[in-house]
Amino acid sequence: MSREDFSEWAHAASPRLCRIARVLTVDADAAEDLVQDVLEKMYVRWHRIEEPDAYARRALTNAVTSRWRRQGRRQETSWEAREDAGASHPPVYPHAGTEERIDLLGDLARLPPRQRAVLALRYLDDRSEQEVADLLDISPGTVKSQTSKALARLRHPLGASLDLSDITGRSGPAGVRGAEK
Amino acid sequence: MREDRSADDERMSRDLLTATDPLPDIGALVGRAVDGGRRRLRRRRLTVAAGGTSLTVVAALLVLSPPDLGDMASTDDVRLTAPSELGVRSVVEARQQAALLTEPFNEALETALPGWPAAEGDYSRSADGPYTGWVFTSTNTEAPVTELTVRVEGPAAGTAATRFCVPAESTPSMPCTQRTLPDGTELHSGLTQLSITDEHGDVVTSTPPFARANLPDGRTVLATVSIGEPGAVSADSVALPAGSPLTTAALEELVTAPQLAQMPLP
Repeated sequence: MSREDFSEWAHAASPRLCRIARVLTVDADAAEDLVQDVLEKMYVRWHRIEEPDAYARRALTNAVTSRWRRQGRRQETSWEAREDAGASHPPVYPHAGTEERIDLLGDLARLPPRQRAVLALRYLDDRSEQEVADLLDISPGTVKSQTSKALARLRHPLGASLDLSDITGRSGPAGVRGAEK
Repeated sequence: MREDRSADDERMSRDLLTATDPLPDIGALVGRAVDGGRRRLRRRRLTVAAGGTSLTVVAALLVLSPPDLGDMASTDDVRLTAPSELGVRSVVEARQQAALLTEPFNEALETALPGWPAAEGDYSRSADGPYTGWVFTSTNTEAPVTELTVRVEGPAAGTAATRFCVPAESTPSMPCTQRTLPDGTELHSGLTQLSITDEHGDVVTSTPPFARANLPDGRTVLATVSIGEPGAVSADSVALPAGSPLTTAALEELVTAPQLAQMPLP
């Protein structure tokens, strides 16, 4: 593939990559910076990259999760560890009908990067568990469990006791989506 | 792709789409990425080669080289004064500051290299994320395409310990000088012998000038030159034309310009 192909691919792929990076970093600026960094590296290696979509997703998630590892897992909030992570965006109320106002980005910031990666790939990128497992180099079972844990934490962002049926339409732990697949 | 999406899955997807709006300017983002990729490609192709022997020492241009630390000031001269810092916290802020600082940089550029194309400024970051300084890039598009890159960075960038000169005893044809200026600045300059690999794997040699000033406040100002368009490298395309203003002396003047010494760091 030529570098002209790169520009064409990058223009088409970047909107989705930006959304994924946004979930991974929970910060608009950091997400843009991360995507740019990944694209720069891909430009350099373009002629050796056979599956650019998969490569880009691996690069995004690796950048975030490896950074997290370097930090000795002292924090699990965000790539940039910004105090205002998620604060610059309007609240999102994903579950109409409940009185719980959930700022989704703020809640995502409380998840470990790996769980954010699983959610981003599963729900933003519409990837199957197997595909997510392949991209993150983990087992499908881990994808399932990480999805389950992430959703559970999103439903109980502050450890409050919520009625899961408000969110899932079901009651109790069995309603966790990831556990069913 | 998944086929068994439930209503909850759909809702989560919608929520995440909403939460990740608005998107940045994709065209600008890709443009910056291509520019940055081209810069990376240039640096990647610049490899130091030991001349006159069959042994080619390939080293990344910006690799830390402990032996070169010996060229620096002695322990007694280690400056602990922290450079002035702006406290930049976001990419947007970093870009804004870089744009503001481009003006004083171009003043210094015009003084050292009159008539040379104005530069564009950007921030630099370490691999771990912290902002380390500024990068100014000026490209002369007349053949051969020549890119001048000046980095103004704090101690965290490690630029002060970057090795450029192949030791003079092994390559006497490549003079490099080091001297201490009255204000304490350590000034390194000379020619760097570079092997540039084109996309076919062929290697051509270039000897562009460089200059580096390790300033008393701990910052480093480094000027490097890249000759030749990525993807169109040939022996003729990587040599500076006769009379080029990109001399070692001009780069020395640039890296010691007061505008750069006074430039606040991120």
